Amino acid sequence: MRRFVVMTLAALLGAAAMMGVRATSVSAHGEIAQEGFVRMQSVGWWDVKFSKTSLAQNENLNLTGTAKILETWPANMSDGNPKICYFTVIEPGARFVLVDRKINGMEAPQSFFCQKGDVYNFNMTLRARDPGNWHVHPAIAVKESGSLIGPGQYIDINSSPDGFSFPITLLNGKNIDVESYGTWLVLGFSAVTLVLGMWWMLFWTVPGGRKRTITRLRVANELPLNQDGGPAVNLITKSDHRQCELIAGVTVALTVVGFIWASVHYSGNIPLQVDWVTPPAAPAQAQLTSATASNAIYDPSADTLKVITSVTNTSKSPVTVNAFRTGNLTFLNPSNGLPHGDYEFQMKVSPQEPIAPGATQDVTVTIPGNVLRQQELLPLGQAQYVVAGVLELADSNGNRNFDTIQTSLNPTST
Amino acid sequence: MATATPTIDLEALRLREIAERPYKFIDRKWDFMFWVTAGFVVGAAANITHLLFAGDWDFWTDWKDRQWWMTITPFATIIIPSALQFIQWRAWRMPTGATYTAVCLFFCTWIGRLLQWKYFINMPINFVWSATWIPAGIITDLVLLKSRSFILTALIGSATWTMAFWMSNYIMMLPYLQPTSFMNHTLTVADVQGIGYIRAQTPEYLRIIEHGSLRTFLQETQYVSLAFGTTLCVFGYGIGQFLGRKLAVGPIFRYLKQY
Repeated sequence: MRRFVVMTLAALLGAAAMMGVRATSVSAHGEIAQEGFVRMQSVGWWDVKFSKTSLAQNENLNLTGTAKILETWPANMSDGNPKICYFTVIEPGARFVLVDRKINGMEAPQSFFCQKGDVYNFNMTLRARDPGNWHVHPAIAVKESGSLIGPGQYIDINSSPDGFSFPITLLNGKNIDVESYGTWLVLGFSAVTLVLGMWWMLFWTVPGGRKRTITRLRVANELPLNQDGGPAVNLITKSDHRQCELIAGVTVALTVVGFIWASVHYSGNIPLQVDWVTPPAAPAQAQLTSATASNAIYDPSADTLKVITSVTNTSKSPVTVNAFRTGNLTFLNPSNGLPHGDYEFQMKVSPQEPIAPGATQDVTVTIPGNVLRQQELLPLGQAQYVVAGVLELADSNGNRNFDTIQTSLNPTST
Repeated sequence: MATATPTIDLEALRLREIAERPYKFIDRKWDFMFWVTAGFVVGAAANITHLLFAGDWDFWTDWKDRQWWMTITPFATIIIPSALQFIQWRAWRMPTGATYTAVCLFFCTWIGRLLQWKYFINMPINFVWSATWIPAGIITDLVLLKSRSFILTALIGSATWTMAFWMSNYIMMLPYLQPTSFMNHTLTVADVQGIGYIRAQTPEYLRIIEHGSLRTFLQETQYVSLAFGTTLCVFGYGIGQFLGRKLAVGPIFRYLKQY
């Protein structure tokens, strides 16, 4: 007995210790666990912006940006033809509540129909819920493939004295707080059913110490399965029947009355909705160039990846390479500004001179290998030696052009 | 006939004497230990079966639809109660298997919801509440008590299990089926919960809920689902009986016969 008490106390202490541990901060969301070539070929991200990095509970944060389902989408994912997508946010639990989501200007509360090669400008409004420092990413989930994660940002949520609320108005005009709506009914009714269940169980196990359990086996063994011996054997008495009828009667009455009450009180209900939309096409992008990658060379000694692309300037202005975007990383041409955040890095562009109108020129971008290795974006030893991404070029007027490129990865020892 | 009745009465009296005998070494502590320790096993078995077959429908309000939730969940959750009904009736003539399982499952699911979902990741409990099977368990146990027949319990009890599950849980679900306008779309409160409280790796399109079809049976999806759910539930009850008879009680008796 003493040992039982000690073990019970130890278990309770362990449980109490566990209660003191909360998932307070998660800084990674598994994005680098996905194979590099999959991330590079599937979705391109650009212009991802968080409107704030610090806000109070109940304040809104806008998360905007562009995601493109690349023409290089892998054939082994969604049969090479993504159809159903869902813009979401990757965060450690529901620290923000999503209150609005627009795709190419259209409200999209649920999933949307998508296709390879399309560009989606997203705008998600997030209402701050849980105080803390949270790492937040946009993501696009694609049916039969999974979630592909964009660049992230740490956001501080400061507590508000009023706590969090999620107000909406029902179609009947009633204002509710989604955070707590109906909780009393769920907890109350569940508790009542527990009382009924315990009543039934306690009646059959401990009514005044008369009912035994284990010792009934010897008698039950001698009775046919569909007999209980009746009052003579006294395993199940008339009083047992009456008591069980009472408990079951109360249960049925409670259920029926509760059902009728809820049906009247919450009248006008509708089934769960499936509301998938087809967003309009994104505003047409500038078509300044066409680009075709011809080779990607990884040099282990220099620890660099060189992507060689043939670029034809089809516009009337000179264009320069602004950036190369792959996975959720952006590599910037130093002449186009300094990197910001955890997902932007520098690269070298050669030649640096602009490409003249009508000219075709090989452009080499040199990317630091350590960044790619850290992000598991160098697919060495993986099933596909491929490099893909979006090459961003721009003219002097600020018009930007995004070309999807893909080529084989060729490691070299020279 | 004149001699048969006293024989039966004597046999009944003998059994009654055995049933009411004060055992010296098998006291009530054993009963208590049995019910409490078995609770963990039964709760875990019921919860695992439930999670394997119908987990997501019970995790979120925006999965608790009128087509799949009512069809899958009663089937998935009657398997262990059926096995326990057989075991407890066979061993002790106690009509407690379904209620006992429902109570154990209640504790398992609610401890999980409160600790894992509410406390650790702070999901609102009104979004992740667990269904209750206790009313269904009580009524199904009453059917066994009155009928003393597993065939009748399979036929009638499965129907009452499905109906009681539906009615008792719809009491809690109805507030979340109230319509609202959210992002300029008409949605239920449950839909709003599913959109607002972000489940990072459970995108909306994964929901297996009613999407509609041409086979609408005069649009009475709910009642068709209940009828189909009841039929499936009879099948689930049979699976539970197989588990109880062949995998639980059977091996015990085979083992005992060796000695």
